[in-house]
Amino acid sequence: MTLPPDPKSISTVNYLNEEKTVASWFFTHDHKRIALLYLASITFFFLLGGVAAMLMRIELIHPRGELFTSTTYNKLFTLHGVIMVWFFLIPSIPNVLGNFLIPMMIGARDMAFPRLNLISWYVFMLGGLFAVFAILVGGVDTGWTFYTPYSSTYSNSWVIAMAVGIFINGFSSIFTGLNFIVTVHKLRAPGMTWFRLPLFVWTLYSTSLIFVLATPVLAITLTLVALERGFGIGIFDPRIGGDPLLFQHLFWFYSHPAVYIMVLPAMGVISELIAAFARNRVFGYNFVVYASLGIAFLGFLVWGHHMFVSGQSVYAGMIFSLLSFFVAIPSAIKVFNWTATLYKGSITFDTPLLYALGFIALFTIGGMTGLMLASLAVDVHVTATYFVVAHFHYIMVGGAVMAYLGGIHYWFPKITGRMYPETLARWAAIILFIGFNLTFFPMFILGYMGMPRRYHVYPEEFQMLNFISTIGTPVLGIGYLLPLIYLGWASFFGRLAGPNPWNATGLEWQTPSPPPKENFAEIPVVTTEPYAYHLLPEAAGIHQETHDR
Amino acid sequence: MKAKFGHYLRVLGSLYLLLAITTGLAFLPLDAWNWLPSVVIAFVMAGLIMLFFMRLRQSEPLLWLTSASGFAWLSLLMLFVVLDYISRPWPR
Amino acid sequence: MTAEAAAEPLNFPFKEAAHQRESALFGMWIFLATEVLFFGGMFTAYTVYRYSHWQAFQEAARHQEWYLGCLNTLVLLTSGFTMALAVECARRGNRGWLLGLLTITWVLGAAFLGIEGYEYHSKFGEHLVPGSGFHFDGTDPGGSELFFVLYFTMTGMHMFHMFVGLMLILFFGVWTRFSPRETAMPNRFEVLGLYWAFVDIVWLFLYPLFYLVHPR
Repeated sequence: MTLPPDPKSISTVNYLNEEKTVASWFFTHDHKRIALLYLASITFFFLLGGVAAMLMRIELIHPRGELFTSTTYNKLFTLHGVIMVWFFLIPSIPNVLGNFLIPMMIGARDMAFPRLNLISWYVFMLGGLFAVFAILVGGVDTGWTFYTPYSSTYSNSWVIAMAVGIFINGFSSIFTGLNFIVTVHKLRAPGMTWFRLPLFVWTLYSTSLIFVLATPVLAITLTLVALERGFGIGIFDPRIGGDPLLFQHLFWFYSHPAVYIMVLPAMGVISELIAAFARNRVFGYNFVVYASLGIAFLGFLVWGHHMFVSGQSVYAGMIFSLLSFFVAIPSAIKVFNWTATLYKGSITFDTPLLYALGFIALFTIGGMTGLMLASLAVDVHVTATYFVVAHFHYIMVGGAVMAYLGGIHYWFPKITGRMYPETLARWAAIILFIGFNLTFFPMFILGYMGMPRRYHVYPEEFQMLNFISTIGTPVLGIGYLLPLIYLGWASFFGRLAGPNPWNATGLEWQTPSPPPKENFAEIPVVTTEPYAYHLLPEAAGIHQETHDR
Repeated sequence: MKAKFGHYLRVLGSLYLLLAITTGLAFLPLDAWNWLPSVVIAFVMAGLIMLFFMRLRQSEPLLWLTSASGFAWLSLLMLFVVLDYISRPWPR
Repeated sequence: MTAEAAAEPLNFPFKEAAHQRESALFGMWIFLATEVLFFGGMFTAYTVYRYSHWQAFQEAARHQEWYLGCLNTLVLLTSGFTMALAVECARRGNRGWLLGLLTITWVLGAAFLGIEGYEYHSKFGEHLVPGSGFHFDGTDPGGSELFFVLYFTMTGMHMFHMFVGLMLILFFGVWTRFSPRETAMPNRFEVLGLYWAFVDIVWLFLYPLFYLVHPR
């Protein structure tokens, strides 16, 4: 299906080679270069968090856990959680793919505030510096949730440094979200109406609303914890009548919507991939748009389902449970619409579509088990077990990371101007899928049998399943390392891709690959819907036939 | 400029007046409920500042929406948190 | 763009001044919405603790000097007024009036911080600062301590925002004074004006919640 690239269409001067000094990268205002700065940084953090996960799995081979002390194990899972949540998953799709693609998809030359965009990367790195510092000097053992009073009073680890890191990281999110919202509102090309926006832009818009409206609450919550810890003024301290549950309310008001920060952009990527490889219009475009906004909104009203057994009022628990079920509706709309888009499409099983199909399968499993967790009675049984761990890894790794990799493959020719090795990439996607299920599916069973999370010793009858899970880890690791290697190779030595190797719709494919510095020589005028595959020349023949008759 | 000056001065005068009222009302023996009038007046004063000092009155509808969204989301947070606390069967 | 407005240099990727101005204002309003939620977390804590310890809050609030709070509100409202006028002058390119009004705003803001600092100082003397030195005779000293925990964190966070505002006024004011440009850059003052007004608004809620609970 790939057309041989026309040598003339490959831009000789592009955003990558226009300036070559180191300073031109570190002081760039170009959204595409900033996206690559983010790509490099979050890949580093992903490896850091991944190593911690590997070490945890190795420890869990044996029921008595003889490799690490319990303190070290606690620090490992905290490191894994903090790094993966705030320094990899949350910035992954928005800051890499979103930064690169939003201006290109809406027909703009850059973000509304290019300098703020660069500042957000520096702020991100500063936050990362604090987090790495906290890890290097001794680590944090509270878990990524920082529950009080353990974090504020009893933990003997570097909580404040880590909290400062996450606080700073939050401002990076806020700046990114603010920039995205203003850009989408104010810089759309002529003719690019709201309902002609690609679905990826819609999901990033919804995500940005969460960035902007939820992150400040996390910032103030962690500030209060740090104040309580540093100055002994106990705002959540039960000794003077404060309430640790208030911390949980404030923390989850951010951290539940944060789950949608991770998965909404992933859903947007999947919509793009499915449309491009099924060569079909997205079924029910409007419904998918409203579903994105609906998920962003409902996501704010369900945080109490993390607190069913915490001592929250039963009535609040019932309401939060009901609202959690409601989130399933827009999520299911999306899954059905992707399936319907595939129906009667001309499907080619290129690597990005393999990732997309993997996403749908794993997201569905993660979503269905989410419904189990949303039911009050079931949740009482499985709270804080491996069932929860498996559930959110199916959403965050099986969902968000699969979509991230799928998106990286799909837009790789646009970012670098070169193709990745297709056969190897397909194998990597399949290895990743197998490794993922091998690692995480046993955890559902373990959790349902009652194995609690965050323990490094466990009864012997759980060993078999833990062993299978640990065996899955290197497979999963190979699934991640392979793309890192061949994409790195292909960005220099891959076959030239040409402007539109997938023959896809979308303004980003109308620019040369790699795009020039300000994206468009002339701002395009948009006249069609985003997924007008039925209007492409390849479909025109069929149209002509029906017309003749 | 003079007309503008008078306009802003009238807003300032209203704010001073509301400040006097809210301070006076605080001396009424409303006990646990004394927050109610003063918070309502605080919202009125905030509204005046947003409309006139922050020039929301002359701004596009998008800015009205944005200015309301922060308060709307805060009210969601407060609503659900308060819901939990008032429906607990045990003290607090 | 209205004829009265002063010229603003264009930043990439904008091509029209009006477009750039409305985007800048939109961005600032979004930032202020995040600030509402930033303070909102503390207001939520206040709501919960006042609900569960309302008598302790009343006892604690008797130690607050309501007239100092009232005076501070007066000062801050006036500074909001002068800031709004300053923005108006920046928009009209009236550099002299702009700098004068900024100076008045700055002095009022500094006066606010001075009064607040005096209050903090006297709280130390009365052992009302939370922590190991806290001492309170009442039916529920813990609840009263929570009142002062919230008082110090919320007003402290507000003072920090005031301080940032003062620094920005100073920076932009000095820059404008010594810049070779004929007129001021109106967008930055409009954005600064929004920020300053927002900080005023936060105080309008802090005043009744900390000073008018039980005035004597």
